Amino acid sequence: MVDALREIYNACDPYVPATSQYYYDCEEARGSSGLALEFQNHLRLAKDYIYFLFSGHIGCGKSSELKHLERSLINAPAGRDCYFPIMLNVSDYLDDYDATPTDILLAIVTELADTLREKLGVELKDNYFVKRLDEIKQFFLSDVEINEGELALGFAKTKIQRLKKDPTARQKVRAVLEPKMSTMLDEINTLLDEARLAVKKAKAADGQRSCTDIVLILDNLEKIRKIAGMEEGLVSQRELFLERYTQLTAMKAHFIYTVPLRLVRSADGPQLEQRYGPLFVLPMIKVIERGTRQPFQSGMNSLRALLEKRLAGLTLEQVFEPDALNFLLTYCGGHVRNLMSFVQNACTYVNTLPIPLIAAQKAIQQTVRAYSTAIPENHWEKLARLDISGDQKIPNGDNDYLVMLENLSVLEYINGGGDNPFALAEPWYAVNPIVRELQRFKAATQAIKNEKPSLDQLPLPISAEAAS
Amino acid sequence: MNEEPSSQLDPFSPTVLDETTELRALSRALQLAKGFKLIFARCNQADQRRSLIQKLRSELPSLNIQEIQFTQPIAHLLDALRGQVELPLRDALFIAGLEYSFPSAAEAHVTSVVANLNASRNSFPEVVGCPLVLWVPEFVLNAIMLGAPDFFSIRSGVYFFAAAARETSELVQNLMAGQESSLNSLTSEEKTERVNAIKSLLADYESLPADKRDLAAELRLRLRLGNLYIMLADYEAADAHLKQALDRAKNLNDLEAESAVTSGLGIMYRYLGRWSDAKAALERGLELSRQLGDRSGEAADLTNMGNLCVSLGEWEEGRKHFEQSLNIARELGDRVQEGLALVNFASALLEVNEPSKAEELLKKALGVAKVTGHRSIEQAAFQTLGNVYGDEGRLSEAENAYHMSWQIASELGDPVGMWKTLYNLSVLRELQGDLDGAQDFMRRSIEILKKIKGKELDSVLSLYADLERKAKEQEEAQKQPA
Repeated sequence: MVDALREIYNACDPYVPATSQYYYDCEEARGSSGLALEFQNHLRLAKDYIYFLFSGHIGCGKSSELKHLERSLINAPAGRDCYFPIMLNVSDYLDDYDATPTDILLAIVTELADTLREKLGVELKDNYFVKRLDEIKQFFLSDVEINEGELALGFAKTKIQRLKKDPTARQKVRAVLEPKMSTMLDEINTLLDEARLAVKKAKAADGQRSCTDIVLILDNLEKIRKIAGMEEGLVSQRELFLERYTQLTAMKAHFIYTVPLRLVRSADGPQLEQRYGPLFVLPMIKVIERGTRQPFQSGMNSLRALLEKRLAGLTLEQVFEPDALNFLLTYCGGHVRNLMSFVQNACTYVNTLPIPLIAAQKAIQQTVRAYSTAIPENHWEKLARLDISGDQKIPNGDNDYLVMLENLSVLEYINGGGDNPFALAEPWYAVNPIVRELQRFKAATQAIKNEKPSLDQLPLPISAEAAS
Repeated sequence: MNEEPSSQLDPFSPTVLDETTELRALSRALQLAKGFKLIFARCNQADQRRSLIQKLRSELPSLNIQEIQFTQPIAHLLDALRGQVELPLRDALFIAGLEYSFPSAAEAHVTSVVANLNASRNSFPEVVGCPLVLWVPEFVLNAIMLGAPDFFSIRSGVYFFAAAARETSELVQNLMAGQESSLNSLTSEEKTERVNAIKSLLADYESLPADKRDLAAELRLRLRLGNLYIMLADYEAADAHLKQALDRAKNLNDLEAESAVTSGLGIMYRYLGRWSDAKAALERGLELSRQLGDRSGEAADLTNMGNLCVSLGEWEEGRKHFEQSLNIARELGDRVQEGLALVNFASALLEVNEPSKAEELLKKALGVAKVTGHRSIEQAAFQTLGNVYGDEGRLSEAENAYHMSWQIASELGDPVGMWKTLYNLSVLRELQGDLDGAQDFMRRSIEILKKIKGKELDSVLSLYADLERKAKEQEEAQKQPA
């Protein structure tokens, strides 16, 4: 039994994105189509390269969706085009608190060359970038390494990644590359052409077809909090994604960029779509209906199915008592990483399976305690107002609500997947179900209900007709 | 079998589970986890942390734990761990002492150590390939949750430990030691430190299950917090804590505490110029002190009443209160109370134009301050003495007294003492004909007043405008050819 518990505990690691073994498509329950389908539809219809923006809450499953997309692109069903994905985890290269567009460009070049060499055995030989590497390598290579001669593009990955931890070297590299930014952007297009040719020549996963094109996926780009020389947070995010969008859209290839939800839902959000292309926000898995707060069965079922993949071959009934499972699913709010965390916690309050309700409650209580002291004082009233509002929308550009989206006290859902096929798939917001149960929240809600009606809710006096 | 199969739990109460249950869960997490997992253990008291880790070690003798205890601020946890993590890797890594890297609770979530946690979260498994347990006090946990949401979201558990009442009684004693009035002699840093220590202790108390809570101790802590906030001139926070304390005192029918809380509220209302609230509170405080036979308290209440009367222009009434207060203090041999009564009485005397009597009392007060080591009495005495000298035209003596007052007030971090001294120095400069110097001191005084939202701000601002006007006129006059 301990072995099963151990297996479940480790399979539910909130730290690791779902592998193909654990991935479950929650399309319907999220109220929107999945990322893979959405992106592939755009790809099929696109006349030019697309710059696709992808966003969502921390821990809602973005990386898992991207990994799934990566697999789907190369394994397209018969009759569809295969694409060669280049998956770049930005966090491997960049310091979230000190980044510049040149850093991103350098990471793209390096990852592209590395992936082609690793996966296809193709070595990109681009004189321009080899020369640039030659100019900067002294800053991050040891003397021995420098004497080894030319640093090939396809072998530069681990060495370039050293820059992440070396702010001094980073500065020096930027000083060399920044003046050449526009030329680099031109030249990277030649490199992309070279890469495109290579994947067209190679065979795709099934060994039959070859790929039509490449798709570059930049995961964790939304995690960048500070652009060098700019203020941290929203200001830096604006700078990177809006002010300098021409740099991110100058590269001729299909790109997927992850963008911070906070920026997407800020007053500047609408500009993003104008400047890039399609924007896709991965919503929570809906566990309640909008307005009525009735359980949304399809969502609960998806979470069950998703969870069952991680239960060491046991069934849900063998692992959870029914009320315990229900409790965990309801209070995770459809947030997958939370659910994983809760299941792990619950495992530590039992010796044997199935997990009873009391263990599930203790698991949730950890988060109750954390929220009850960490939510800033001025948020309670706003949380309460959102909860009792009819439209469940957040005021455009209210920074406090953006912070709540970030710390998950407010969750975003999409209203598709209902009975009405014509309903707009528009986002709506709900207070985290755990926060809703806290004393402070209830007091804030009560205080609003006790407010005296404001003037405009009172019947207006009828003015007398003007005498002629 | 699972333990407590039938027990009831309110999952939405932030109450902390009993230590045994929580410790067992943490120990199970350590046994189940393979590879890197991020686990938080929230524990406010260092002693308790040490004893918990000891218990874990004896419960899990085969688990090989490495402990790293920071005693200095660090900017980057992961970098600090590189090179410190022992190889071959142990079964778990415990980290304590992160609180040294968080200067103050209010800004904790924007410190670089938090930013770096968020930024480096993907690299932790490279360095720490085993479960990582961060032992943190509550304010650090909150800071990480708010400031490093990505890092916090990958947690595999947050285990909460609160000190039980009996274990902390000694600590309460220590925090509560000394008369309330001696708090004033703490430096501003020490006051803030006390505020944080009391807050975290109070949080622990309040998170205990209902049957283990010690309401009387919570009440004392809250009263102490309220008083500290008054001294730090954060009246909003003071008001909130004192009102909660008052409710609790009434519920517990604890008259002594009610009397102390009411007096505190009375002083604060007078500072805020809420005269009728102040009067009601002080009268109630006095009534309670008398009812309880608390003569020291009665003396203090009488001084406070005296001050209020002076503020209201009821001078004769005020004099009676001060005299009664002094008599009681001398009868009791309570030197601190005597010193306080002397200083307050003297400044009232100065207002009704009896400077020589005031000077006499102030010199006695300085003597008392020296004997008792009570620095805030010393500061107030010098400040008032400066006013006396100023009144009598002894300007250089006034200047010396103000300098002493300033030195002590700034050492104590007492914003009220500081702005008043600066204001007085400005008045002195004007008397000396140095309008530039006068403006300069007034500006500094206003800066502090703004920070503490003092009720005197508007009148001081208009005085400043007068000064500016006078300076301009003087300049114009000098430009005119003789």
